[in-house]
Amino acid sequence: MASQARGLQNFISDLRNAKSKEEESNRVERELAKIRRKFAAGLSSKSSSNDASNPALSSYQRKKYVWKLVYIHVLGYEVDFGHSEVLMLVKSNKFSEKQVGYVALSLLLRGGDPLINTIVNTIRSDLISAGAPSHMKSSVGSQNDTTQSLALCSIANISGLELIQALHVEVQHNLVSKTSSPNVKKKSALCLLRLVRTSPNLFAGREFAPHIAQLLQDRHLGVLTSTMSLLNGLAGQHPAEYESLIPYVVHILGMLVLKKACAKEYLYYRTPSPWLQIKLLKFLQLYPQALLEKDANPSSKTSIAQLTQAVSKILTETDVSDSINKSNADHAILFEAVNLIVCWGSTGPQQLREGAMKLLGKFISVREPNIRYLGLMTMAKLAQLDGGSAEGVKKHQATVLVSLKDADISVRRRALDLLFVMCDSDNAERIVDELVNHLVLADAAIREEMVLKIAILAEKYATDLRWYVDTILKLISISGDHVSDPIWHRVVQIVTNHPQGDLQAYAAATLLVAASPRRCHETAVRVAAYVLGEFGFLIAERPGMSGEEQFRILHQHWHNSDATTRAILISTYAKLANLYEECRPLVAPVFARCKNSVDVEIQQRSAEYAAMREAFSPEAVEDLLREMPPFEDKEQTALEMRLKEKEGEDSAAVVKAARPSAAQRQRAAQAAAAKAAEEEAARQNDRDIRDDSNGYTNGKNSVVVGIPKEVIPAMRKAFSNLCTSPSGVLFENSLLQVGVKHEYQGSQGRITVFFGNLGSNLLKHFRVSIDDCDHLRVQKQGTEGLLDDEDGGGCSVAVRTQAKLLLLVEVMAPFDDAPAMRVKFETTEGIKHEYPLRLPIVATCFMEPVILEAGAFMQRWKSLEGQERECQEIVKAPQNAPEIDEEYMDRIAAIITEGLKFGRCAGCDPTPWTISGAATFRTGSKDKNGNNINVGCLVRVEANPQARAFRVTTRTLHPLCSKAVKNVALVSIKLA
Amino acid sequence: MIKGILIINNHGKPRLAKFYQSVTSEEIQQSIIRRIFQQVASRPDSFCNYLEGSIPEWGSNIKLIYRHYATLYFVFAVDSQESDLGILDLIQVFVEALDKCFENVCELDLIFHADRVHYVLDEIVMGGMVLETNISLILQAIEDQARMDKKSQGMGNAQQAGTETVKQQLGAGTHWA
Repeated sequence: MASQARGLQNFISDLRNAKSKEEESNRVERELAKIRRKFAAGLSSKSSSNDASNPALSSYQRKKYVWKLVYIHVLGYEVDFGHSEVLMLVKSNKFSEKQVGYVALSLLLRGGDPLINTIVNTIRSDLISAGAPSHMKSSVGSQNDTTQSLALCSIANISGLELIQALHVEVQHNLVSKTSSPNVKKKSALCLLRLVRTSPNLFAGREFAPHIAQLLQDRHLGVLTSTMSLLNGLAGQHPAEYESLIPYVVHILGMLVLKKACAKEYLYYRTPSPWLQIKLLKFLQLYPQALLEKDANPSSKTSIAQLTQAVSKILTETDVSDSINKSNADHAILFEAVNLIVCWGSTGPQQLREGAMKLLGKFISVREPNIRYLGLMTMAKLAQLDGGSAEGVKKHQATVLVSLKDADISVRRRALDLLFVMCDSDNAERIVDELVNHLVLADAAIREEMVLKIAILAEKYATDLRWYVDTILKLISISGDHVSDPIWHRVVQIVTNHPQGDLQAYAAATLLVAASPRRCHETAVRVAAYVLGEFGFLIAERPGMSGEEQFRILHQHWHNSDATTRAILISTYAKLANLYEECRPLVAPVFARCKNSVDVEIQQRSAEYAAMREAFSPEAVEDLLREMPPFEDKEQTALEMRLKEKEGEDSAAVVKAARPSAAQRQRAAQAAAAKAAEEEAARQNDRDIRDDSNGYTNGKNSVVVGIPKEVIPAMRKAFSNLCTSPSGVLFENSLLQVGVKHEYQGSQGRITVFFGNLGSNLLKHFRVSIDDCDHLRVQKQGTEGLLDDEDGGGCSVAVRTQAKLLLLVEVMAPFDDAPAMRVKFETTEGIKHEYPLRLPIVATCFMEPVILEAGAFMQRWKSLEGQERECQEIVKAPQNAPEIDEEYMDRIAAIITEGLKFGRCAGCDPTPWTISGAATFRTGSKDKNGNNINVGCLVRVEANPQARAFRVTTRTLHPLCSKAVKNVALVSIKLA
Repeated sequence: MIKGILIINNHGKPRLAKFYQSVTSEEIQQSIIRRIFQQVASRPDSFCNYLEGSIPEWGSNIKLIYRHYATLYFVFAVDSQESDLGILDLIQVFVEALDKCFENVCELDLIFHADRVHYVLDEIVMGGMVLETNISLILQAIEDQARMDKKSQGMGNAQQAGTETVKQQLGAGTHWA
């Protein structure tokens, strides 16, 4: 065998004995300097060119130094000289030199190296150096044969463009030449493959296919294996051109699998050449239609029969072996066969698919990690097939979930991928919940991937988009750092694009709650800010969710937010300030401060928003701050692109993500129908376009007009007023006026609601529905048909007449919400209207005043101290209000006594700047002894005239009462 | 195709590095070797032999298929075209070939006879493609080359270096399979 020079041995030993990295690199530098000197020795006298080699070196020395260079290169040091010595060795006639030269050449030179050009001719002559056929057969490994091999190996390893152009003809010739030895054929095939990969379309497939057919009839399994590698490479580029070779391939497969015909030395642990079998099966995967009989040709029929027989034999006769190597080889073939079955899909025999599924089910539950890993991976491919297989996969859900918790990340990834692929509308909720639960425990390496996949699944299979919003919120709270921008942008898109139902209001309310805690993830703040800016107005009626409170909740995160979040917040603030007058004084100082921000974006936004009101007409401002139009639905979402980026084109997950789910198709159809209907309605109704420009749709081919955004502030004010006054107007637009009269006695109330037609036409199908709530017992009585909630039902309200609704209510428990009322009707033009309103039935309606002595008040006040029972909030007086003086305080006192129905406890108010009150909240519920349950309530308002602010504190026996009383007190004081 | 083959010892020292999809500089090569070692070395032997590693220089979707023998990691970085278990077997073939070639191969053989390791590998994998998996043919080719080598050197001025004395049994050898 080849042996090495002592100098090289010593050098290696020196390096191994080096105690530190420095010592090693010093030794290397010394050696490099020495070699450089040796190589250059002949230069100065002989030639000026740096390329030339030193002819004075002996063969032994040259080889030794080149090997040293190779060794140094492998250690990671740069070797930038000596290439000419390498070329010298390649050019040598001595095999020992040539061999070293070629190995060094492929290690030290790269494809584009210009030096290659100088050696092309040598390589060519080595390539065509084959001797006479007669002598080739007898002598094993003649010099020429081996030299050819070396050259081929080098070309393959370097694979530069120049080499390919210069030499591919010779390589081809070697491959197909009858005189080439098997060794040369093998290497030529692979060399050619390498060249084709670097430079596709090197030759025409149709002309080359017959040569391959010739080679496929070779008896040498090594030649067959290499030929199959080449064929797979070629057919992968142009499958159609090699389709004619299928019978040859099937024939070889049949020989190996069915007849076990294989030279003894190609048995690998008793399995006939597994590599060749794998390659054959891989080739067949390029032709998913192979089993379809195109013609009645009997030979093609036999071929098909032989193929299914072979595949079925692989499937059924692979048994578990004790030897891990034997089992690896067999399973490698088996997995490739399953891949082929997956490839055939429904054109393949049913029983093969079932057999494959059964086997994979077994594999994914074994302990051996490799088989489990591959089982999960292959099952993901099988799960993608339509019809039947997906159902089969679902049976294994529990087993897959076990692998999701495996210690090995490779296995976990595959399990995640499989879960992703097997998910559909039936099991989506369960799988997504499992994944979300697992996310809490998952380590960082897999989290980003999980978050992305959960987000895609939740969107894809949500039958209720509210669930989707909830899921993403959970992702943000568990793993906010991995929720990339595309994910939360997608939430915004989906919420914006689905005005049907109450998704937008739901999203706004949920996000407001999510952003309420002082500490929450910045991504949550971003989504909340954006969604509230767009749809906050839908929930502003709800207690604790007014525009002002929306601002407060968002603004508490300002100091911990980065520039991007702040920019979003600023736009949201501008929208809030536009809608709610009371937000303007809160927002103005933020804008004023931000005008000096170092961040250009923030500076510009705040300056523009601040100046907007003076610069433009109110209509223009309204236009600027209108909700964003629906987003365009792209063919491929950003999430899918991200997934593709991570996993590549042919991943099962990517294919799955790109395929729209039933739920998505349904949503798309609804949206399209709604859009068509909207256009239709717009055409019908261009007279009164303003009224329905803000309309939203219910997805049933008809447009429903909602409450225009412009009237919302007035509506809120009317609602607040009504909470503390016995009668008034709740809602008014050009068509309809809703008036309310309400009176209470203890726990019972009598509410009359009037619906007046203000328009010039009949209102048809006029209906009112009131949501049931647990805390109120309600009896309803109304104009005939008014409470009939079916489409097409309802009563008609003629011009200038009213429909009437009478409600008798009894309160059963404390509450802080107002009952929702939905008003629906249709105009004579057929435009449907639907207004969600709230009845001003709030907790303070059921108060009975109590007058307490100062001592008794203070005693109860102290006894109710504690977090749950107390609510406190500070409210600023409205900007346009007069100074806070005694007269002002009298008005506030009147609100407390008359509006909130509290008894004034004047003994507790030594100065004019405080107001104390007490009341009992009466309910109709009975305790064990049969007495009505009552809740004692105390309130104190303290004024700070300098700061123009009031502090409202409530203490009651029940937390909800405290909150409800505080809320009513706050809005009433603001309106005072 | 096979993008690269590495043999790295337990301490992260590369004993063989073959890049079939070449990268631009030694520096990047070394950084790839380091990253591969970090990813592979952190996994206990009970884990599976596959790792969806991230080697951006070789494109996305690269899988590291490796086996750990005593003091050495044999790592093949492959793309999705290769059969996963097939490569695992190929590693076994490579190791068995080395074992036959060196008669109980150990890490020191790979250090002092890097040339022969390269010759063996070149008979198994060529340009990132599997060339031969039949161990006797692989050894035959190596022997042919050796014979040619001797012949061309005439009397063979090679000196058998004293590696035998330093050669230690490092847990490799017959227990490899």
